[in-house]
Amino acid sequence: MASAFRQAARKSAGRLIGAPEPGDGPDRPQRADGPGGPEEGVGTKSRIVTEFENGAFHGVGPDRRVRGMSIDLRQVTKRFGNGPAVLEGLNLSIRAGEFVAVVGRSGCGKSTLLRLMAGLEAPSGGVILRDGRPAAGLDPSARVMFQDSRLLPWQTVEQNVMLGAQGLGRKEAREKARETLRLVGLEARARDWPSVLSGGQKQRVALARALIGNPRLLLLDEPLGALDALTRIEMQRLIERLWLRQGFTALLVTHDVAEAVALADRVILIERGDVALDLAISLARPRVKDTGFAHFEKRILDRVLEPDGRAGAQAERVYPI
Amino acid sequence: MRGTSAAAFRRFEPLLPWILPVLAIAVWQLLGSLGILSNRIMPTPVKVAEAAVRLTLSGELPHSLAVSTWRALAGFLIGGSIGFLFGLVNGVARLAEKLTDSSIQMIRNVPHLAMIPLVIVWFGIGNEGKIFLVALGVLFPIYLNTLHGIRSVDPGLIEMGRVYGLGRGALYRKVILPGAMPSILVGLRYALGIMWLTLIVAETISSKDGIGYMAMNAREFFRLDVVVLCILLYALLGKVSDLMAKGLERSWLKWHPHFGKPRANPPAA
Repeated sequence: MASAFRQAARKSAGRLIGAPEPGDGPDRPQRADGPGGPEEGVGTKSRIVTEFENGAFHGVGPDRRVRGMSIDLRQVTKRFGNGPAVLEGLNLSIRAGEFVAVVGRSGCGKSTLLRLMAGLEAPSGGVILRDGRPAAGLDPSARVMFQDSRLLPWQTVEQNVMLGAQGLGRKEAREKARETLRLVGLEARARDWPSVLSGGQKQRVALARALIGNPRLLLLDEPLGALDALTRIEMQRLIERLWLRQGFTALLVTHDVAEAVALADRVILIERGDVALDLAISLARPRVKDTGFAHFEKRILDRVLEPDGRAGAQAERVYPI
Repeated sequence: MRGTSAAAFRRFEPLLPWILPVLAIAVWQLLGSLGILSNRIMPTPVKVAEAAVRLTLSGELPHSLAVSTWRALAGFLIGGSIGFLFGLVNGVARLAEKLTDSSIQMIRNVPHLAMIPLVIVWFGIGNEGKIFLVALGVLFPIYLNTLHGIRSVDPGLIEMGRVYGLGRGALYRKVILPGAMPSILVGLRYALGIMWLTLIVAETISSKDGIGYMAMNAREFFRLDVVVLCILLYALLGKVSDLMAKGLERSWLKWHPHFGKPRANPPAA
């Protein structure tokens, strides 16, 4: 199995940016489903391995069950009060099931972008389409994970997770909460208060709370920013695993370019209120820090660190939208 | 060795708060018995205990206690509810706050005991006047702390509640009220202190029964044993309300690392 991973990684290391390769089309070898068939819930691990072995590297390949939401931002502008525009005439299209990372210097408006998509803020101009329909306010199938876990300290871990399962019966919600906590490896802490958990554990509970309602869009607002390096890597793997399994659309706002490259299908750089770079990351999953990885990381970093003098230049668009 | 001494300490720990009061009573009795403290100035604990037994048997003490407790609780419930409601409404509705807050602050700054003459004229010396004064005294600490508690609920948690689809009712029940609870309970503790203070003063000045009346009456007849008994009763009643408040804190704030019992699982690093 391990060799299969390596093989896959090597195969894709040569592939860089560009249009989808012929291998991504329907003529690709079909997955040989085991006797269990493709139902959900059959051994998470083996399922993901099967996906890797079949080469569904972009996560949007046809054999990953995609149930995510597509999002289109058209000429979106956002200003607070009479201040300058934080985002101006921004266009962005996110396909269903895609994993998009948004990077940029602090204060560039990347968090505002996320809040607009969540419906926490209304755009000052332009339209946001969710699944092709104009968005109005909060959407029950979109969930946000914040930088601080925002768990209710007066509710147990389990009750906090149940909060994400509005509309379910109490018993059903509890069962579902247990199940979701098992996914993030915290089943044993179900009855604890959040105050006794570590920062990483709290974020895992927050992730469980976001995922319990099977969201179609998961918005991650620097959820790993406050964690130590090792916990971060663990959390990145967990998020990737759950994203592969559940097929939702993910938007990750982060200031960590390596994290963006490790997780995303596309990395978007926001600068001066607009998309300054839109780069497809065509690396195999799970991603290893090889030369391909370094290439993408350097490319994005170089662009981020470029002096502002290039502001007037044409935005660099590589991804065919 | 250290383990056993720690265990012994834990066994005697509940007794620690009682050491000082017991010691004080012992010294007091000793001074009285030796004649250093004149009985005309300060009756001995034994004399006070005798008075307690006598008044209990005659039914005077239980009656006074019952009357005072009833007034205290009635006033507390009325004033506390009003203060809580105003705090709740003003905590969330800007308009209501603009409308009522400054008036409430003005009334708050009038010492409520200064109203006793007016209250006697309005209500006479029956129950209503005392209940009114207690309610007035209790209202403000509850109001202020409820308002402050609601204001200081983490806006991030409220935003989270909205993202997760909590309706207005659920947002109150699950986020805002529990978040304000530590502050509300602080107000409750203050209010319980003010409750007894107001009641005793009101009963001492104008009444025909209750503990305050008993003390005032005893002073008229120079029954110092009864006066001291009443003072001790105040201390005891205050302690009981404090225990009640603590009990509430422990059961309503058990999620709080400050109040909850330590859990089997140690905090993770």
